[in-house]
Amino acid sequence: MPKCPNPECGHDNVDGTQFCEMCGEELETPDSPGTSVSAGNTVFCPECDAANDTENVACEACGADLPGHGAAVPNEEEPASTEPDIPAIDPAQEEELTNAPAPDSSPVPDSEPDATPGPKLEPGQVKLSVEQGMVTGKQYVLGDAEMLVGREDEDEEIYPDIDLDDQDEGYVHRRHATLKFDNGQLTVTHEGGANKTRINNRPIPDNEPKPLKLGDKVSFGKVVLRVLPNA
Amino acid sequence: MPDVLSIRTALDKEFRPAKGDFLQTLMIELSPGRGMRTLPLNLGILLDVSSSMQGPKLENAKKACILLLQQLTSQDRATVCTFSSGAQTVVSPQIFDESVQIASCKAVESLRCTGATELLAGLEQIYQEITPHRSNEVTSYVILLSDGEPTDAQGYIDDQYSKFLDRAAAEFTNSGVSLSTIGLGSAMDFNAGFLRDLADGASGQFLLAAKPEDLESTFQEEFGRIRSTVLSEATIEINRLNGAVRRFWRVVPDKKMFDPPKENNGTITIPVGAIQLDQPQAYLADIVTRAPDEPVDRGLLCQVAAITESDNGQERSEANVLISYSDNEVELSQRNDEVIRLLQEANDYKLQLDLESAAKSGDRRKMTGILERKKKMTQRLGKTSATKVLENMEDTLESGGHISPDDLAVSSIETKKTKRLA
Repeated sequence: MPKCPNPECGHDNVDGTQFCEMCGEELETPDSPGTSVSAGNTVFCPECDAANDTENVACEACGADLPGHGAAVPNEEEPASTEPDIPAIDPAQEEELTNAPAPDSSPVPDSEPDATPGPKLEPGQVKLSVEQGMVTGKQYVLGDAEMLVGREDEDEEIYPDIDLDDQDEGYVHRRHATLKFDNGQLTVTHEGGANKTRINNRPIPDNEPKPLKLGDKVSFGKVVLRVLPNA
Repeated sequence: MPDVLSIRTALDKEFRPAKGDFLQTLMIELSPGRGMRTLPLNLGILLDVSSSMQGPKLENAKKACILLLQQLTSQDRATVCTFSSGAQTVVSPQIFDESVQIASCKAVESLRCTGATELLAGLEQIYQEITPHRSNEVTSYVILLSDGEPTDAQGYIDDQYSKFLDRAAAEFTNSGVSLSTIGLGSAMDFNAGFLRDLADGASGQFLLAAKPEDLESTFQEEFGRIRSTVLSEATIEINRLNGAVRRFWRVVPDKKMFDPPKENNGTITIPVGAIQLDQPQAYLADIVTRAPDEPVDRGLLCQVAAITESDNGQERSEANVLISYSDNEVELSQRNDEVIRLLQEANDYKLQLDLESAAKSGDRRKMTGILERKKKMTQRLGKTSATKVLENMEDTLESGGHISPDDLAVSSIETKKTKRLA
């Protein structure tokens, strides 16, 4: 008869009970024998334990990479080039992609200079490809020098250049972030709001442009996109 | 011919030990047949027109009410009642042809505010109007809007909530009239837990409109749901049960905790209300199952039936739930992820109810413990917004403050939603 581990409860539960009948304390954790960490349609985040769909590449709760989706770079085992609608990444950029920052939940440093500046990026040469969202694989070509990312709101007359309204369940803010080309560099600026913009899983500070490189993973709310060259 | 309402069952643990009592959770999923015809409406709108509704609240309530009336067709019947100090019928129940629509909108447009919030009188008034027109071939629903605690005729708060809850639940059980509730403004003014329980007991939904401008979209959201009803009343029946049901929950599309169901002549009957188009519903039953008298590998746990009534008679879908006995550790450790996840959702809802109860009693230590458990659960379920609200509450408690009714109301609504993975 499993006894509740909550010291303030200690209720004797019937065998087979998952959560204490009295206080709701869990009697069997996901790591306990008998409960799979990843089975069926569910995968549990190694960082925060949140349940995610197995198709998710990053945790919906904390943004960490999920098992089986950690590699940020297309490689021989998992070549992006085999995707018919996602062109291969130029070999010249591959080294840079390999050096993409490791997943980390700490914020992107405020004034860290980019140690390995990549090729110059200009409007029309870059696109974002949805890796996690309601329409995976959808692509947005960054054709303008400055583009707003957000969610359309007719009442407030907000019409973002990259409208992610159809990509998640409202976690993207109406004015979520701005993408800007400046002197051959692409930057993203989080425009405020609780659901942060993240680069390679790291939340970026509000109102400060942060550089984006080819191969980076940029997240707005729950939508995860990959920065790719527009062939 | 496909079932009007099909039934699917699953156990959290397929195997149980051959000896002793053992708790197993049974999921019962009801799915309406594809492409079924939606039912005409028998709709009641019950508006709070007490003096606190003065100004933008009333104006937006009128707009929201008119928005719904304008969408009714000549198949639908509707009535509008108001309550303040007493109650009255503004639009008597009638089929909505064009002339009725125009006259009804005018009547709603002329509403004024005054007096107390005599909710019980309002409920009596609208049930009196709507109940005679109920049948299995229409959807009978009341949408209640209020911005304050119920009072007596003199304006003193009437916190004998059980009489309201019993009244609404009785109308649902006896006449099949559901009730959805909309709380307007700050939950400091109305009791969100009470309005939620009122809707739960009458198989409806509780919605929150934080600002008067939100009323139109909130009314529309609930109207859309009601409008998509394809079966006005469904019942789950459990027979030949080898055990005892301890708890019964609805977990999809949202959550509700039922009173422990009672067995009558070997049958447990649970009315579950209306079923919406292409919208499955899922229920969980915690069952203490018994060991077999003689060693066997498998046995019948129970028979489950989904029943609907129509003018053509009774439709019934049935499923047998089998249970396997084993002493093998590997078999005993098998879990059904789908049911386990719904169980986590149900436990999250239980923790919400516990939190509300602790907040009411002011027991800060208890609140802290529940918040910790609930946060862990919402994180695991991937409910980001709900986790944020809980973090706010934790910060408030840590800084010596009191959990606000608004935070509790938002948490309640977030917890009610079930996030079902594809």
